[in-house]
Amino acid sequence: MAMKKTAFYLVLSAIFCLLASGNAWAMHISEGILPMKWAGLWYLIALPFVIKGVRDIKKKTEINPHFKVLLGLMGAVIFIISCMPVPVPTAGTCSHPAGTGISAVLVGPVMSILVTSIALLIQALFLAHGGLTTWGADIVSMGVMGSFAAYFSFRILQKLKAPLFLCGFIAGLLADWATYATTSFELASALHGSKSMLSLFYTILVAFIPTQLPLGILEGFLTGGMVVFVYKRRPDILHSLGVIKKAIPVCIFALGFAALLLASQTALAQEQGKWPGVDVNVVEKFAQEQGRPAWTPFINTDQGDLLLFVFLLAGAAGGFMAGFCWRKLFCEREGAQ
Amino acid sequence: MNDIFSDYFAQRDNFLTRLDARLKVVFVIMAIILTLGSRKVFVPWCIILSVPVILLSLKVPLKIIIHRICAPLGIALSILCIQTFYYGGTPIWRLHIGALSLTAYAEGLRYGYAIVLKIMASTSWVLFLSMTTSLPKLLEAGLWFKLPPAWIEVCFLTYRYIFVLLEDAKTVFDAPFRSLRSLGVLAGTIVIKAYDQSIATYEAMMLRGYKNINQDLVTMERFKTADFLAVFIFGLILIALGMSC
Repeated sequence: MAMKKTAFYLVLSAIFCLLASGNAWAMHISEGILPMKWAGLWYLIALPFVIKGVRDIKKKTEINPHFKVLLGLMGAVIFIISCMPVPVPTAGTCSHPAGTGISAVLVGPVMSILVTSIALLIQALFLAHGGLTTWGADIVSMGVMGSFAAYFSFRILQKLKAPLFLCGFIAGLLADWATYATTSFELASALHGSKSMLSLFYTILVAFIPTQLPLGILEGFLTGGMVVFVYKRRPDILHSLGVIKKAIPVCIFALGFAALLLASQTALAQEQGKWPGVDVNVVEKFAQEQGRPAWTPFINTDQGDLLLFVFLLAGAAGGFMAGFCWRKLFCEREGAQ
Repeated sequence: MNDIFSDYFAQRDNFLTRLDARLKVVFVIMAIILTLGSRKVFVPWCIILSVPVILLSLKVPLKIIIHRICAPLGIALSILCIQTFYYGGTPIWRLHIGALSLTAYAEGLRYGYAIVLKIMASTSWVLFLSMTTSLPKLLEAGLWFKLPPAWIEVCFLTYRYIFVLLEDAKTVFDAPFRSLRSLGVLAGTIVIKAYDQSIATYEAMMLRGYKNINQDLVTMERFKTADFLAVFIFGLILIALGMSC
């Protein structure tokens, strides 16, 4: 029974694909598809993000005076990329990337939502690509979900020290797939009628797979390749947009750490005795009340310079290890970059 | 792209392009809402048939109209297909594909058909708006309706640079496609060009004394006699649509 049901959905999806493959505009929900209440709901969800974007423009323009012009150009880039027909061999048709992966990585997710809203409006008005009533739903799928998926995946991978291409690749891939998953959800939630929403969601999702699975990978290559290309040719762009933080010299780190250590030691010396710890105040006190006074430790580091000696040993071992791996830790990484 | 960018037709001089953009925006939004709420099948049909006739009378080429309608039509037909096989309980025919049989339901077909009509009718309204009103006029109207000036400003800039970048993008995409890496190089080149262009444009704008867009700069003309006539006609259409809901 389950097999038959799966086969049914697969055949239905194949028909959907065949019909939808004639055009390259499957990503945007067309005008009139969503009933008014659903269209209104998606508008309400999209609105706070767009308002936040509008408010942030002022702050960003104060830091970077040509930011507004850059946003306008980024909107044009998204417009062009999301109109760019990319051949999808598995489906034998053309589809188009979302482009939000690139904008989210370059200008951040909120600004990316803002420029996506503009690109979507122009496409809806002048290319019948999307619609006015479905504008909110399209902003949520392509702008909100696409941008946040791209931005967070890029940042997390950057924190994990993944190569720059991989960060961009995953960002582009997830931006595309998140957009399509959300579009499927939006369509299924509005059109399922009295039947199960989940089964229609799977049908639409499966229908998107032949085009979107390879297209997502292509968009991954597009975004990853773009980030690496810009990094190689014009790293100043990525630095000025905050995509890549400038490497802080190790000596500044070391000096800062030493200053912090010195300050904390001085403060500790001044506060000695004033602030006994929780062990003394609570644990030792109650243990003593219950007749279980603290034992004398087996290795008492308070005696003589034993503690100092242990620290000396640890420092020497750590220094030896760092010196032994110096080339691997610093030189090779710099060379690779 | 330049051909199907219907803004081109809105730059022409005719009765509909001369009408106030604010009127057309309000009319089209209300008309779309009423069309979506309409329960009568003939109402979307009337819109689907009459809008292209109006556009043809404005000398918009039929090829462009068909091109613009094709994309939503493809999606509408997919929705019709899904609804026919997915929704309902009264079977009308069965499709046998090997061992598998698909059943089309009458309720699904009716529901899908209604959705198709609504998609095409709403798209026709948007087509009417975009073929008769240019984006700068629409944005000016938006500013009059108190949309955030910063958003409008970015919108203006985007609109301006679509055409600039289209030329660049065309040159870049005409270059031979060698590998997947080329895709990134193409996108990267566009991003670098966009960034450099943004700095150059900003400097040029500042040198020419550019200030931010705000509501004070709105120079919407006063309503003319033709506008009042349009209000009357649009009002009648909206009442007719409202009665069909």
